[in-house]
Amino acid sequence: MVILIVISLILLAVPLHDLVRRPTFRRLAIRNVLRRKTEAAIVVLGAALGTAIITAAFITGNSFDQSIRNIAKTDLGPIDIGVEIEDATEVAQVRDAVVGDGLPGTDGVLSSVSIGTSVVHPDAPGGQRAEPQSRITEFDIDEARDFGGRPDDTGLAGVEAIGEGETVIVQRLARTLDAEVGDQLTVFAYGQEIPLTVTAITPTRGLMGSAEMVVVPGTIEGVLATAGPGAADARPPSGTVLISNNGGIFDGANGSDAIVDEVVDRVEAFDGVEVGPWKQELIEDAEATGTELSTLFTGIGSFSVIAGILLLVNLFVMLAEERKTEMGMLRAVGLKRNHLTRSFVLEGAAYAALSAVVGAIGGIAVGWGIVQATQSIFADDDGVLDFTLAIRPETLVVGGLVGFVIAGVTAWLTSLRISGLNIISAIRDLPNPRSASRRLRSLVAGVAGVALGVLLTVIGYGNPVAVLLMMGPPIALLSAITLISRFLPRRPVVLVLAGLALVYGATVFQVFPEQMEDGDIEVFVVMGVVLTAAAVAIVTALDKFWGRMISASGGALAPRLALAYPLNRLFRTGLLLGMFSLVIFTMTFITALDGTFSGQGPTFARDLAGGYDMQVRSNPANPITVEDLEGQPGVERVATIQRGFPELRPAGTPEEDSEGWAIAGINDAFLEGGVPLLTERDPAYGSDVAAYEAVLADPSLIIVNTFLGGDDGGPDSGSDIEPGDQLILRDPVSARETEMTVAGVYGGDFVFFGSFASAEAVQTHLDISFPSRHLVKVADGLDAQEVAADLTGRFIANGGDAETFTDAVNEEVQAQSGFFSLMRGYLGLGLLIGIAGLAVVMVRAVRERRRQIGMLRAMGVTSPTVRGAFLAESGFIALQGIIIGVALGLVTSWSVITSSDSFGDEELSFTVPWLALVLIVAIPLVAVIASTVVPAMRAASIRPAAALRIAD
Amino acid sequence: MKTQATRVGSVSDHRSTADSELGAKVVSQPAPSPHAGGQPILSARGVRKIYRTGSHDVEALRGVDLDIGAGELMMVMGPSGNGKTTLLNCLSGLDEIDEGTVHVDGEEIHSMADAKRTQHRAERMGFVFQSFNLIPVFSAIENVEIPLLVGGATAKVARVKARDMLDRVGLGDRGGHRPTELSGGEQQRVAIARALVSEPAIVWADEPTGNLDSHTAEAVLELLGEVHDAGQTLVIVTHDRSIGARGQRLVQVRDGSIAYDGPPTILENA
Ligand SMILES: Nc1ncnc2c1ncn2[C@@H]1O[C@H](COP(=O)(O)OP(=O)(O)O)[C@@H](O)[C@H]1O
Ligand SMILES: [Mg+2]
Repeated sequence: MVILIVISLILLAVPLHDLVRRPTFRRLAIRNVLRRKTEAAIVVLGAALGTAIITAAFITGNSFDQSIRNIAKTDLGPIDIGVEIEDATEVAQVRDAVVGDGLPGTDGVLSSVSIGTSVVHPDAPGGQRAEPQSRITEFDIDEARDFGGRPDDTGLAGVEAIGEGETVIVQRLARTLDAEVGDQLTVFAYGQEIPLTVTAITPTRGLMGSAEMVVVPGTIEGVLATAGPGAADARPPSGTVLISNNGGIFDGANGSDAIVDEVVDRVEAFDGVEVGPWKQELIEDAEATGTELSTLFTGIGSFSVIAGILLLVNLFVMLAEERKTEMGMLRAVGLKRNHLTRSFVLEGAAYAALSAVVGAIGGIAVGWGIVQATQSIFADDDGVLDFTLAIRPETLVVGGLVGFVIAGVTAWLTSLRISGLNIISAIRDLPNPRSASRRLRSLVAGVAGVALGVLLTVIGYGNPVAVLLMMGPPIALLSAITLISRFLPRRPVVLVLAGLALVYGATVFQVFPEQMEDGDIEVFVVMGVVLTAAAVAIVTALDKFWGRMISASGGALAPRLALAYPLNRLFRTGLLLGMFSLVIFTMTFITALDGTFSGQGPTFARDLAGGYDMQVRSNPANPITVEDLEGQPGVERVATIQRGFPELRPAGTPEEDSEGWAIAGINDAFLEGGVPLLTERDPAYGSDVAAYEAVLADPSLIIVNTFLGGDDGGPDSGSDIEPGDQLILRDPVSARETEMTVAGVYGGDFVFFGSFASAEAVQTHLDISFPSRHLVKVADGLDAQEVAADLTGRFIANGGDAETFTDAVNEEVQAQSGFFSLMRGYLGLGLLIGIAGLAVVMVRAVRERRRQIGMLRAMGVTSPTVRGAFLAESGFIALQGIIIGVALGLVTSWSVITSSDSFGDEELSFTVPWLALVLIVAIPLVAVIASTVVPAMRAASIRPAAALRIAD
Repeated sequence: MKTQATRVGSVSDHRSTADSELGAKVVSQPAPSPHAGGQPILSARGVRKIYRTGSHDVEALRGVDLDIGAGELMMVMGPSGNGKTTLLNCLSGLDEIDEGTVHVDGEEIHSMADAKRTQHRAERMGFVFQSFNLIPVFSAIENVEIPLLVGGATAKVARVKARDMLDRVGLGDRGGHRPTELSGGEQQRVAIARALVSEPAIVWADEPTGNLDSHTAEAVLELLGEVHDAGQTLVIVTHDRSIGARGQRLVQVRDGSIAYDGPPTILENA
């Protein structure tokens, strides 16, 4: 932020000085801005879109961050630290140990016991309502209300203590159950039904957010005492001691580390106790997720931003060309080159400043759109995260400043370049002559470029830094063009060197798989720029080819005119092409990924399912048993899974590197009928089944998911963990560590199996003895989906939830697809820049060529021909850009999908999403042509007599 | 004159014999009267042109009657701002008129729809302006090809004819050059080649030497002279007396009306 402000001030210093002290510059700049109000407005709008895109990326990050932080209010409130106790009967003792003679830095300690339940409201107004996954929690309400000193934060302000058979429930649950105070609810746990009367409904806040239903202490003990023998297989109640640090909801979390250490010491004597800085973790998670999303959206958005920069450069160059003669005159009457630059910079600064303000405000709208879209994409997902728009003032400032700096620097650089014009050639409207100093400058630039490219390559390869390795060779190759074309004809040099850069960009992931591994989104951005730059260089070098095409095509004048202008202004055309192809490239890339993933849904499901159709989850405190399931109609076979939540890390790495990763304890039944497909396995096993059999036989063997150990989000997030590697499995409760050997790696995990080990291994390593999931195979000829729906309905009391693998995969694939769509929509803004940009360019072109059009009309060229020529010209540029983008996007996505393990080790077969591609080509093309209709009509209606008169 | 005629003369090769004969007749007459040359190729009656600008109207042509004979070399002179260009634009149909009629080859051009008039222009007229108005992104030869392509010629035929025409204006070796790579005189010669290449009935030239130095201007005028000698109808707007004196017929425009119409000899007296 400080850096941004400093750069902005530097950028503004000269223009501001000129604005105040140099009336000539001021007048020149202001007049020039006002001379073409509509275009000035579009320039500002184009630049503003870039700013809006950046701002929106930040706002999206903010919103995620804020939404996750909101959980701190709704589900934690005063709670900063939690002490989880496996044996709930020890809660009181642990609490006493924690409090001791007082715990410094804290203002509250509260003990609670809870069990998972399902809850039903049988007499709901519209018929029975149920929440299969809820819980009841015991704590003393009077004590809890003052926990942390602010009753409002606990959610319990004004709530009276309750008696037996009564419950206080949280609003969120009340809404689901359509329950009101006085209603009778039925809670299911340990095979029993517990009737409870609602005495109060609290806001979804603080303690209540996680407690859900508060019951009087002793209730759970009573339920357990009367439970049948089946309860032995269920998860016992868990106890928690909650600690509130001094301070408010958010600042209180700061002191957690020291207090956690102290508490860990105090509870050392107890087994099965885990102390965690809950709030701090949540906030860190919020920040990390927020930053991750900001980065992702900024990365994707930067394609559009670069397109915006290209547009700005283009417009500035056009501006300069339009004013060439008058600038030459100004120079002739004694204005120094530096003055010319400054009047341009002043004008640019005005555009930049205006667009920064407009863009930051527009960013709010775009951010809002993203938040809405994201919310609807993830609406199915548990609904835990209430994703709402959060706008921080500093975000707007930063977004605006970034936009300003980008536009400002662009204006500076372009101004420097265009003010270097030769007076005579400017007045006579000739191209700048190739002066010796110019040649020298290009020599220096070429040499410097090659040197820089080589340097970046070396650094990038050695360290390795993926992004540097991505950009190094292309920079060297493209810079070498100016050098080598001194000695050899330019065209073939461009074709060869740009061709090499293109090939490099498209294959770098295969050529340097290891070095490219740790790249992030910025690698893709650079890749896009490299590929499009090289492709545009190649295409513009092929201008002769088009010339020949025209000659071959006969004498039609419209296409001839349409091609002549772009082919004669290769720099400007190149900018336009770059602008289009960059955005289209990204769109195609994302679309191809989307198509490939979506198309793979059935394969994913088959690979994961093994010999089963669905998984059935239930409330651990009231689980569905194997026998329950086996007795159901349509169920052919059941396998039970013991789930655990250990931490895993490669042997030899420090404990901080541990990652929490679920594990599924499997038994013989799991192997019946097939196993989840392995992408890699220890060569010691002849087949996938053999590997699973080995895991069953040996509790030190583990099969891991391909994403374990990968850093998420990057282009290459696949893990490095290979069969044969040693992993440390750590039980977070007992802190016991076990060394495991990786027997195999499997691919897409859509039902959160996590890793696979034998049930026995999970029980012994993690002290877990209750089953938590079952897999079900339905009888042949039955529809798995129907059976699943049937089972879910049948086991409401157990919190039953049956989901077929196909549904699980589809849900995930759809969410992903939705996210891809969101990205496409976001990129669409870049396309908007391209389309609006091309429209402005065409409007300007009409003015530039007024007199020429007049002459053509005098020579008998009809107005439809003039109109056709303009439409064809913009269509030609857009189509070329689109084709470049689509081709590059397909090649790159194909290369990435088929060769890198960026998306796990899963074998993906590349699917071309034809329909989507047709849209990617057609929509922008139609939009471009539609937006050129107005300037084309204007050109066609030019009256020859009037046009030829201008400045005669 | 014989040699000149062979250089540009073939311009008339494809013309109807009637036209050639008319042309020959005109050339043979030492000082033709305004309506000599038999049937006029263009006949204007009561042409009024009013420029309507925001605050006040400018009556640039106040009821002009004028006949132009086929093969004539007509000079239009008059002080700046008196309506010469307007006259040219209105008679050629480049601009609309407010009153009157203009018949070209017996057809009233102002009652034609824009498309029809455009086509008519393509077939019957050529233009040369003070600023050369070449298409900067086309090479010299491509510029010359334009009227042929507009007229529906194939690319091949157009290329051959355009090359011929460039040869005739002495720029045969510069066909591949862009306008910015040519001098002013060369550009104007390309423009003349372009105006002539489709063998139009009338060539209009509005101050064709206005942007050229006297030496280059002389060369351009000589070229136009050859065009006329070959039988082409030529209307040249100029404010230069020495150029005006070269015509067969002089029309002087004053304040939107024709103040003099007769032999250019009066210029010598002045
Ligand atoms: N588009 C126009 N709008 C208003 N007045 C015009 C326009 N074009 C020409 N005029 C006026 O018409 C008159 C004749 O102009 P013009 O034919 O160009 O004269 P000349 O060619 O003899 O210099 C002038 O007074 C000029 O100012
Ligand atoms: Mg004039």
